[in-house]
Amino acid sequence: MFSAISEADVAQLGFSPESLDEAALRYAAQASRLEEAAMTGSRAWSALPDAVAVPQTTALMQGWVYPAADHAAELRGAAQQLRAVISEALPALLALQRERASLVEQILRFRCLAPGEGWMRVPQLVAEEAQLRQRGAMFNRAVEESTTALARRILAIGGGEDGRAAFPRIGTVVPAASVRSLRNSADQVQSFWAEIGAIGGAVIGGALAGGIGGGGLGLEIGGGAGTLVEPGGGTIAGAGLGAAIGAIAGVAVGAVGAGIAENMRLFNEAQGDVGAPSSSRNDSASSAKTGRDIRERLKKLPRGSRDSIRLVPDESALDNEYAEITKGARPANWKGHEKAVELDDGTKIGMREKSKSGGKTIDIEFPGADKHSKIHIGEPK
Amino acid sequence: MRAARIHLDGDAAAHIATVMDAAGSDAATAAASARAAFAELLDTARACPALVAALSAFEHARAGHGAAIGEHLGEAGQSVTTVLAMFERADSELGHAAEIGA
Repeated sequence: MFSAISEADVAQLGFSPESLDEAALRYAAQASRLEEAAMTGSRAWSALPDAVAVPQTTALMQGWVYPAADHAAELRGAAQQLRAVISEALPALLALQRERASLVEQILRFRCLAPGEGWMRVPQLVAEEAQLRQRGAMFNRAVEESTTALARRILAIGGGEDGRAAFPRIGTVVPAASVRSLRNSADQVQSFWAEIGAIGGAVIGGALAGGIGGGGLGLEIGGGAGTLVEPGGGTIAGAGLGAAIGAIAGVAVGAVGAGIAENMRLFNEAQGDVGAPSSSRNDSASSAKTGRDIRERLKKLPRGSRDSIRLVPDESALDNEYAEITKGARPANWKGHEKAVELDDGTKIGMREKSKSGGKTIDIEFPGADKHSKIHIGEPK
Repeated sequence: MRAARIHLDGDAAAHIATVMDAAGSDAATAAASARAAFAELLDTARACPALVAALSAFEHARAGHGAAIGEHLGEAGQSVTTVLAMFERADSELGHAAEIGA
């Protein structure tokens, strides 16, 4: 049924351009704050002392801090672009709003001119109505074109037609990589802590022994890493006393190693919340062996000069054997060994570069056993 | 001399841990504020289908990451604190070891 044009025939903008502009401004300000926080974190991380930024922690933190800072900067940039696009469109949107107000006013005035006031005016009214209809249709097209153009420009900020292409979600990319990296290097991190303990023993042993006058011997006994500190040239008596003190310090530092191992477990647990499968966190624990496992394994190796000595053909086989029997075990300090671990039942396994027989050797100390078991390099006779 | 160096750096490290932790916390708060601000923006445009669609796509592409950035920095702050706590503990125990030695 035909009816004269009304206010309802004229499209509404549907939003307040000023409010949209203000909201975009607030959003841009919040994105700037987010970037500022990310940059503060990034700067704080960059300023960490070298001693803390060991490769393992660096790999972990770089996976979090730097991508977060980069994406925060991108987000801030996008928010500012969004605000710029909306601000630029603001005058046109306000003009549309004014145009609508004017058009509606004219429509209302026209409707007041009821035909009842004189049928003679009907043709004129029909012409006026047609003009208003035409203007209304043009206005509706302008509203649609303006908002569509604005929408298109907003989408362009997103990087593509659907605004998604240029911004992969960091929430899934970064932590997975970081956690994987951390877990892969968990053993290395533990070794690092063990190294810190050993070096600490050397430093303490060396410093104390050096203070008394016999740094060289003190270092050797205290920490097993004496090359890091230049031996002092003291008296033999001083060396002996230094050695004793160094040995005490070395034992105490061994306790530090245990504390560190516990910290490492806590650290791994803390990382567990980031999303790796829980089973992977227990990989090392599940592969840890016991003294009984080690004894069984030794029996399968060729016998050496004694039953407690077993043989492998070459250095590579010895290294493989060490890696296998120490898998998942806790790093420990063992005087005279370049590296060592301790199993939960107290069995100690250590690797020496030199032995009386001349070559690289694995020593195994079972709790309560009189003698160490050994794995040498050699051919069975 | 690494252990001694850790000892010397202890105060600076603790300070940085505090800064890092605060940055993570600030980032989480800023991310929440940014999300709220964007929701307001979306709400403002709610009666204009073209704008709502465009802003929704923008939010999907950009604003969703605000939360991820905040969470990442929060986690990073906690990790730095954890790492430094380990150093502090190692440092203090090494100091204790020195006392036993003395």
